[in-house]
Amino acid sequence: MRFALKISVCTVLIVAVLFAAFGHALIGRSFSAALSFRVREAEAAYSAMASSLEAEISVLNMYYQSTSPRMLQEVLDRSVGAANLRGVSCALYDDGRRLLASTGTGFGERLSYSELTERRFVYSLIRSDEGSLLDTAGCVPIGMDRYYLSVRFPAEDLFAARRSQVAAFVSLHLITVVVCIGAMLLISYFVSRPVRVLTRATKLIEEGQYDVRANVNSLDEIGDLAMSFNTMAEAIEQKVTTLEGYAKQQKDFVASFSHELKTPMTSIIGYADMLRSAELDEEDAFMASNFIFSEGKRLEALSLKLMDLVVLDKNEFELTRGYARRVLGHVIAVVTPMLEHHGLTLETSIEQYQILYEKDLLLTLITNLIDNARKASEAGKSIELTGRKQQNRYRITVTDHGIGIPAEELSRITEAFFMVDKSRSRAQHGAGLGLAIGNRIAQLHGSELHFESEVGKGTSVWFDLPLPKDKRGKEASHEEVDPQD
Amino acid sequence: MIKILVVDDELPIANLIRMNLSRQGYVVTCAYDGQQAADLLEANAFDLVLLDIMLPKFDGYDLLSFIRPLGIPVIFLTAKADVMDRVKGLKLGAEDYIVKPFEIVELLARIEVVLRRYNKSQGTLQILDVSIDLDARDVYQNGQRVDLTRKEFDLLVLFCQNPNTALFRETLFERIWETDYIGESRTLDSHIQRLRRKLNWADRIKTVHKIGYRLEIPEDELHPLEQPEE
Repeated sequence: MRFALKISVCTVLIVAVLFAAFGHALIGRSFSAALSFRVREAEAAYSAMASSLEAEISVLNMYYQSTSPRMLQEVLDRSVGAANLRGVSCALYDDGRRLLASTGTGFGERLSYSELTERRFVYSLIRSDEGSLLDTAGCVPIGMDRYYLSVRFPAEDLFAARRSQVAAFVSLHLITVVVCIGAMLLISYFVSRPVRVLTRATKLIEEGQYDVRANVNSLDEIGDLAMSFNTMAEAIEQKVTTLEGYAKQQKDFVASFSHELKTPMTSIIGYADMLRSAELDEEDAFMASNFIFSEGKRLEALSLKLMDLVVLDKNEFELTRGYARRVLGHVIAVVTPMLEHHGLTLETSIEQYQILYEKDLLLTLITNLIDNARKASEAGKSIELTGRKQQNRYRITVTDHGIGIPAEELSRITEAFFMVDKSRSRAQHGAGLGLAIGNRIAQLHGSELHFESEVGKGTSVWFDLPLPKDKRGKEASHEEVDPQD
Repeated sequence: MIKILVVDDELPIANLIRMNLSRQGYVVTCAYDGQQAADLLEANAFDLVLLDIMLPKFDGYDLLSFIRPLGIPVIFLTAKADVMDRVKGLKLGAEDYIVKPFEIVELLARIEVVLRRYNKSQGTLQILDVSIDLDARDVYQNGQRVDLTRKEFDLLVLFCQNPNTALFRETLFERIWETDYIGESRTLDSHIQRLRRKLNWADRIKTVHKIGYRLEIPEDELHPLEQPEE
């Protein structure tokens, strides 16, 4: 409301001041016009009176050679009566500007005007409580003598008119200001509404309601601002959602981790306590120590895998170029004896191509995937390892014909500590981190682990490796002879 | 004969509990997932269920609502140490909530408490010529009442619940005095001395060098006396 109030107060002040100034000027002009008209009238009346007075006094002078104040008084009364003007009074002064006769009260004993010459007409306004007057004066030369005539005309009507004009103007002004205040409050309320909407939205977002948007549809700058604001809010909401997701993942990870830690701890502490406290027979003592050993192994695997995960998250790895058959050859050499030991065969089909990879990580990943395939397969089955160039990627696929993964578990399979079959995994000292690590490695190569699986039929997992930027790779690849091929 | 069902998907833990409870004369059955537990509960009568929360098939909470109508007391036994998890477990009607890793002695004591609350424990322990009334906290030897202080009584109960087991000084301090063992053992030693003298058990309560004490009862005297109803 403050913004609206500011606009309103400023506008109303400006309107009030301007309106008052205009009104003042207008009333002033109208008054002075009326006044000058009145002065011209007065001048005419004065001239007429002066002429008649001159004539009368000239006649008196001719008859009596001199004039007495009484005769002058009569003459004055007559000439006022002849002029037939209401409210007009006049006074006659002698050469020394002393009062000779007057037809009303209020004239001074001496004429106040000093600079009066022949035929000159001066006037001034006299304001008093009984009514304002237009005071005129002039010099009337009669024969050798010089008289001064002062005539006063009523002028109260002029002032009365001005007063009524002012009164009318003041009430008009008040109405204008009141209307203006109302209109401005209304206008500024609507003008500042989008700002208030934005402010409210900002407050709500500040309080954590990130899905709030400012509902402003105006097409002006504020509308633009609201649009930018909404875009920003959108970005913030996405960011917050992402961060909350990360935080939840972290929290879940810590929860799972502590669970994974406490479970073997419980067994180790419990069996160790039994061994030290009670005399167990040989069979039980062996079982207890065996459980301590296997659960200790599980903790060891967990800590090693966890280290891998931490290292993968912390370090930047540099990808080097090399030939597919050479690097996959290392894997094949490592896993073949292990697979044969479990009665499984490995079938390989690897297209020779130059690829970019981090050797140790790639070996870890593929060995891990083949090991998973081995764990899922029964003796006598085969596992396939293929490498194919696909457009601008090199795709490595590991396929088994084992137990498969239920569809509802597939999406969670790369989560840390997620195990499809816990007891089975436990029996093989699994920590539930293998695929989480594998997925990280695939991500470091710009890809992800993709799974296709059907329960009872087997699983296929693939990821992509980048190719070197220049074209030499392909030509070289065909010429290369790999000793392990 | 008290039958206890242990539900835990971790074979080592289930086995650990089974071994220890069997030594105390309980009859223990293990289930490794929610489904198996539910099947066992339908087919058999149990006096107590020890229940893990994170289980394959149905979790512990689901299983608890399945067990509630059967009126069998349940103790949660889980790695979920969060206060909210404890509150949830207890609100759903579990009798107790034990967080892994736990010590066997503690587990046994809590089981005993829950069983006594359900009047499933006989309320008396009988070891050799000593009988202990757990509810009245009275001890009789050959029918003669033996006057024991609170700590001495608690010590005796702990020994009788764990016969032929070396009880470590730390454990004794934690269980009886409920403080951490800080190397000072005079108090413990003098209590043991008094207990030996009052029961004339100097040759029964053995000092285990550098470890603690052990109540030694010949194997053949043990189970029939502890489970007189059997």
